[in-house]
Amino acid sequence: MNKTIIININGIVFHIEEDAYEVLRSYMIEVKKHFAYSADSTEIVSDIENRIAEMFSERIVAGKKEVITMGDVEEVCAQMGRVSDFETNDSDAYSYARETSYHSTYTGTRKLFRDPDDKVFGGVCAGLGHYLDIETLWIRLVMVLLFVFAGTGFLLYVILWIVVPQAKTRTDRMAMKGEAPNLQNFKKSFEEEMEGLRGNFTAAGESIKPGLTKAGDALEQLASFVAKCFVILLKVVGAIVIFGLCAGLVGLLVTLVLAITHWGGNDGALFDPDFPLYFIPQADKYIVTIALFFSFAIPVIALILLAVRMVFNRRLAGSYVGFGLLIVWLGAIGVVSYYAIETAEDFTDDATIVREWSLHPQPQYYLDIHDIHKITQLDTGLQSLDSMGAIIQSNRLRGKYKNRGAVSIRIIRSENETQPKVIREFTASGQDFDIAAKRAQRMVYNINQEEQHIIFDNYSSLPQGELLRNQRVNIKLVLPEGARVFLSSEADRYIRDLPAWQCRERYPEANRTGYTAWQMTTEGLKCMMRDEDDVTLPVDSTVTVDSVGLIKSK
Amino acid sequence: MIVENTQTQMRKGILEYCILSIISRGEIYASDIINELKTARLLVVEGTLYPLLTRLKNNELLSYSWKESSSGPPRKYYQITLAGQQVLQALDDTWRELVFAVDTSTASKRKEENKETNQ
Repeated sequence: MNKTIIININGIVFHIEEDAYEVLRSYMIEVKKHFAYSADSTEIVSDIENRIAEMFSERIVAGKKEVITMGDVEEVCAQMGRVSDFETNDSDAYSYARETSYHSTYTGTRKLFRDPDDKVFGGVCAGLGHYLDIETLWIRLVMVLLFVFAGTGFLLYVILWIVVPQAKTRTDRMAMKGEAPNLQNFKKSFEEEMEGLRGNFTAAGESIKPGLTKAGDALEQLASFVAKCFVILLKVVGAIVIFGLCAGLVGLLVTLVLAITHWGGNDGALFDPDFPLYFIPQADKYIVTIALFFSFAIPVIALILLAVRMVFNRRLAGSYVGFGLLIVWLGAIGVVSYYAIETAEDFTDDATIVREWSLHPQPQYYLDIHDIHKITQLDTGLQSLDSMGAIIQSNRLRGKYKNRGAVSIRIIRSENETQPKVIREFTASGQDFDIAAKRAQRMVYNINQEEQHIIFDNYSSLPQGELLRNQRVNIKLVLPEGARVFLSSEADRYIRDLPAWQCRERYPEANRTGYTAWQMTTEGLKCMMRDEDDVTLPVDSTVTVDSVGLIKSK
Repeated sequence: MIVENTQTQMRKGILEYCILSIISRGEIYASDIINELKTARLLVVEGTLYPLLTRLKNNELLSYSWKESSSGPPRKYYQITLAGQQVLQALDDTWRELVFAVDTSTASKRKEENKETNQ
């Protein structure tokens, strides 16, 4: 029993067996290819087709033999001759055609199909084996091993089962095995199948056990049911994934819109949109933000399209859209990486500028750390306020970056001098030393002394439009031996290498919010007991302390 | 390779000459031409004939007409044209010349061979 196909050659209808049709079709394709380079190819091919039709109709006997079989096709093709036996008039064209046809017929590529002839479940492993040119056994072994590892093999198998098409036609099967779809291979494949069929018949004859086959049928039904369930499950999971990806895309869009609308920088901003853009020049922020948006959004879009295609088998966008997206994405990635490289290069060199500032010698100091802006409200009596005015003004301006957390203060003992001083080290990076040095020079860090009070700013600031290039400020407060320092609890956090545990033992918990007393010794700062030294701590910053008592303690 | 090339060249020219001669006898169908060529052991497969016929027709040495057939589609019947007849006459002359040339050149060779075998 064989399936037949109805074909029409030159207005005459033939019933032809499916296999025979495939052989005939590939023969005609070869013929067409062979004559493709001669001027009268259509005429020659139609002559050959007509002749084939005639030979077929000679073979048909009404009522007795109405179908063209494999044998007929083979005989007719043999009579017409193999393409390689043909000669064309133009020897150049012939040799060209021969060369190209020899090169183009078979390039050795294999296509991935599921093999229906050699299957356990879906023929995935057999197909992979054909594709990779490995014994199917090994693929199956790997799959089983992978199954042990958290079921990945199973998942992989199910996904491949769904995604990879089954080799339905003979052409598919030959493409799967990497054979060129020409006449010999068709014949070979046909013969192999016939032999396989015979083998199957004999094997079946030997081992027909009704119980077993019934069990096999039931198993097969169960398997197909399970497969259907998995398809449904996968579709549900796929839908959830698609939904999540869409939500991600919407989130990206919202971020973009918020970033652009809040660019002006008002106090009503939901977040500080300027922050990451301080790494790149202000003029380029639109380009970079949009490029960043596309470089994240396009992969998400691609994933959505892919998921929709895999799960629902529907193409939402054509290849032009795909190529367009790819080009936009590459462009966006290019822009982002350009700025990334540019920015990274700007970190190659470091420069440090050191500024010394002498303190008015006092026997003791109160260290405070404040936002200078707040100080103006607290201590309106400060005389040096005028000189600070400009800085305070500019502090209020939007766009000036407050470099919090990049300030570190150390209190060290001066080696030989008695003059107390503050050393500020401004460090910044740049693509070369000069640029880094200029950046360091532009940094602002304020220290103010008012009698015994030294007020440190709690952040360094950068001028408007300055890029963030690893700017840091190291403050060294150099004190002579014996000098006394009162540290506010706020200052405590900014000072490095402070043996704070000393105070934890001496001060009751309730008192820690005020000033702690310290003295510079040969071994560095030492926490002092208030009781021992009989020092009255200031209630607030305007209270002056008896200096005589301090000299005594020294 | 060289042998094959020469063989094809030789056969090609002769094939054209034979086809023209066969057709010159009167209207004939392609498969009959093939049968004659097969008995003459000049041609093995039909596929070779069609490109040749098309070329001869394009050079206006042949013409064809469609005729109804009892068993299948209408057939192309080929006949020789005036120009074809002239070409055929020229080819006849050439063929005689060639036969002479080949005979003379191979005859002397054959003589030598005979001599060698006689000695």
